[in-house]
Amino acid sequence: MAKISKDLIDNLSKLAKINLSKEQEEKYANELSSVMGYMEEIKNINVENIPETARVSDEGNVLRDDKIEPSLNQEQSLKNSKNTHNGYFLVPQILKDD
Amino acid sequence: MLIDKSIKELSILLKKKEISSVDLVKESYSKIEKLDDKLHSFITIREKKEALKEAEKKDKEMKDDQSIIYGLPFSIKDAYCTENFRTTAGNKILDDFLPPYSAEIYKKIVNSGSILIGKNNMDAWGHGGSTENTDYQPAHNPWDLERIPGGSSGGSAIAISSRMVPFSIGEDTGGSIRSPSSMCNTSGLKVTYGRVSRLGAIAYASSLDSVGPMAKSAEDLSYLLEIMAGRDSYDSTSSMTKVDKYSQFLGIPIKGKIIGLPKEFFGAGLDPRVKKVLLDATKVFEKLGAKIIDVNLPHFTYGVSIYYLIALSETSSNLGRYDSFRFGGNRELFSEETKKRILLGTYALSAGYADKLYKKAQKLRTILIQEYNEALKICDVLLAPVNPSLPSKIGELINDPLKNLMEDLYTGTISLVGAPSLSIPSGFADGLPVGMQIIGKKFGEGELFQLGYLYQQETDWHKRLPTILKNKNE
Repeated sequence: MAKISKDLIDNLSKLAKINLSKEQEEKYANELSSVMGYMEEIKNINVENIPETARVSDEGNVLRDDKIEPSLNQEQSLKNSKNTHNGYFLVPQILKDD
Repeated sequence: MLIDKSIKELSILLKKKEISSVDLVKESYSKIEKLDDKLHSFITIREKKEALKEAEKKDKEMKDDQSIIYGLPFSIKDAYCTENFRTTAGNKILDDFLPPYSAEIYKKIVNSGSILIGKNNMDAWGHGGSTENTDYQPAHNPWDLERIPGGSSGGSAIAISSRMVPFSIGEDTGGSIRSPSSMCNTSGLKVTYGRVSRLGAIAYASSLDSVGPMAKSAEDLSYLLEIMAGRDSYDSTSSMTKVDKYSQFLGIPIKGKIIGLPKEFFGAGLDPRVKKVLLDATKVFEKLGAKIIDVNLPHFTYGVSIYYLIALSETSSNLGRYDSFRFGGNRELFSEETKKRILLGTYALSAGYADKLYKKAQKLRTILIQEYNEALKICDVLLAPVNPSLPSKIGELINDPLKNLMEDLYTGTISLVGAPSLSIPSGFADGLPVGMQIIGKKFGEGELFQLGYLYQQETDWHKRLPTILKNKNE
């Protein structure tokens, strides 16, 4: 039976950038364990030599010509952002000052 | 009540000037004003004055050769971007989001002359089958206010069922058009993957998401799909396959058609009351000259696991874009249900588990497609329930995560295959609507309308009005 521990939940929440409270970690660990326990039903099915399906269309990518067309202007592109500066999106610092 | 009429009837009356677009828009708003406090079909309602002004213009410009939906009011699931008009996808992260562009499907409908009334309530991001997982107010079923309307396109089905609008545009990833259509006694179509452009649809799971029409009957849907379908050079998954003249399938006899009943969809887990309604429906098809046979889709019993491993992996990736820098609020605002879905998807994709979970599910998806193809070699269409049970009481599913997932067994599996599926009313059990799915060959939507239309000529389930309209004598 799949057991999703609190440590694993903690790790997943970091990967997915979702902060959880201690109570949530506990609750989610239980609920997700029960769902994953159910999904383990696929564990023993033999899928040897079966290819993966990532998309159901048989047509492949159909691309358009790479022509420059009118698109969003700067004002339209930035208008839904809560943090902009001089026409840029403002994001948290990721490189350290040295 | 004008909006009880079919799209074709309304169009004829409009063109003869016996009714006006203003009459229809007024009726829409009067219904919404009376009922939406109880139903919560809408997240954002358009300014009435604006819609009326547009209707006046349509009335002036009404001509015989205009589209069949010219001058009709409509609503759209809040999963579609509408330029400078609030678009939330049912989620507080996008509470104040004003899209800089419109979804292709919205443009097509508006360019055909229909008038937007508002954006419909939904489970946030499409995450749910009940419209309770909305960050706005949970929606209620017009047939029983204590029960869920189905979801995630619950708001759209409510608006049609309670005759607030003649049609709506929904979105279906794993049943989100079919389930609310079934629970609210309306008709809805999940199209073949790639049949309608997804440009501007807020993504849940990209290999499954599909854009489809919702209305009162198969006839209405056939006219809508003619307008909606087609290639879009901005959606690389949209198909080049020719768009049929779907309304020409209406009225063609179905004598000799072979309808397959997948054994796996009629076994344990199916409420016997739902099963009875479905078996009664097969008798109507037999009367119309169709032959009913049993078929097997052995791996479909694993469908819920396969569906959720793929859909949640994709949603964890799709929702990664909500970083709060370019648009939207921060990730703290994801609802409980969405957080759980993102964590499960992250798990299924994470190092050490991806082979056992995500990739394995993709291989099983191949097996489902093979089994579906085999079944469609011996029959023309499949007939199946939409939901395993009747609409549950509000709150029941939220408190039972596994049961919540099982609701999608019959619909999510069909999405994995990419097939089209028509959900139409097929009867009642304990006073609650029960729908059925007619599942076809890829790009065989015309055949589904053919079967659905003749069934709806023989039955009147789809014409029955919900309790909320009857009691109030609206």
